[in-house]
Amino acid sequence: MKRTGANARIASDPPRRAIDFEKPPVVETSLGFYFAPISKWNIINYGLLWQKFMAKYPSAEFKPPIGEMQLSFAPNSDFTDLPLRAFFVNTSKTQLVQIQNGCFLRNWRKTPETPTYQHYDEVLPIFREDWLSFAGAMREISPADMEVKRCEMTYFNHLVRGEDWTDFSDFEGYYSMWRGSTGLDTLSKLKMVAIATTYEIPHGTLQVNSQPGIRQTDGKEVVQLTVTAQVIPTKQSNEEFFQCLDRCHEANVNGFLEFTTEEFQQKWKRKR
Amino acid sequence: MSLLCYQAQSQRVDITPPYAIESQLEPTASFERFPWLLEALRGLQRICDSGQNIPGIGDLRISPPTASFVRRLLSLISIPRLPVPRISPISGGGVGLLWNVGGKEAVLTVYPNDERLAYMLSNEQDELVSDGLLTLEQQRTLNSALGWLVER
Repeated sequence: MKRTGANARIASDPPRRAIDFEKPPVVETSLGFYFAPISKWNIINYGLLWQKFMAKYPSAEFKPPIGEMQLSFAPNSDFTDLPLRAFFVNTSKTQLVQIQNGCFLRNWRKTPETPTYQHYDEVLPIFREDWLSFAGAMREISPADMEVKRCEMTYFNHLVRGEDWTDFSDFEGYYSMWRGSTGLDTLSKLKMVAIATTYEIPHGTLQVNSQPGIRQTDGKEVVQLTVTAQVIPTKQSNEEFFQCLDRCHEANVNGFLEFTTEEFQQKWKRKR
Repeated sequence: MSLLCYQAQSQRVDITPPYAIESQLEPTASFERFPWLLEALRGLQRICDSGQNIPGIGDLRISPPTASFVRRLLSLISIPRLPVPRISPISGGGVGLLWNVGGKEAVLTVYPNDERLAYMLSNEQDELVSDGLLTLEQQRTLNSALGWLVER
């Protein structure tokens, strides 16, 4: 299969559903924008924001924030901007909005009850609606414009042992960038392999990580292949932010296709 | 009152890449983060593969649902510095997991066809510290119990 170089395509092509699988390995997607932390952020904002989102996402949880955190406490500490990340989750626990002072992310996941993969072009309008709702609420809270620093999209793929692979040495034939250990002596018996790679793309980076582990929901042994693209916007406008997301999506798709071999892709019944 | 009491709280979250990008809705426990987990999983597989019904000793076969329950249990333990547990079959289709850290012991027992597991903690003097029944939804209690093993 001959394809144009990924970097060139990202820069020139409009977004489209270029490939499709009958049984895609993706279990979760995440779209999001990272913005410069707002100086007047207040934990009460989470309550105000939940009022906007609770009709669609009736469950709220609080988690540790993304990123490196430095905390120190003193008797007169001010907890106005306590580092938190709010989760607003829908009833079926398949859709999630994550908000912290510095980022807005939206996740979708596959479940046995909702097994059909929601493609990017299906998830994007929902993300757009939620982002505009969030941005509108933030304008009420803090009139100064938010400065979006990065746009990000992630695919979480689960490759299940016994279904997609049987032994870690299988990945020698499944990951195009890895030669494996065929023909070696001391390194001939592979016990486990974890791979972390980062690539440059126009105005951003593409990370492809392969991490084996156990899926908590059903106890299956999986390799989680995470593909994340981050693109830095050159202008502060929603149009630019969403174009950056399109570029992230293109980079993720092309990166996934280049990272995995056609042999592996046939296991997910590639349609085009 | 020391000057520290008047020190303003310093809190900052730096979300400059690279930061961990983790699945939030379909979490996994990675072998890289929890070094004991791969060996525990392979230990479980060994007793599943070798399980037999031995007259006079007992039925040591482990059913796929019980093995799946144990794998889920292992994936919910979020303590990186645990040692590899000793995993053994229990007559009737159950599985026992034993951690010993400097004389402190934690025993988890999984019974077939039961949504609960039993835990028992004992100290260096072999005295019972705590015991009870847990479900997999009680992840915090599970980690608190096993965290006791490695707390300094």
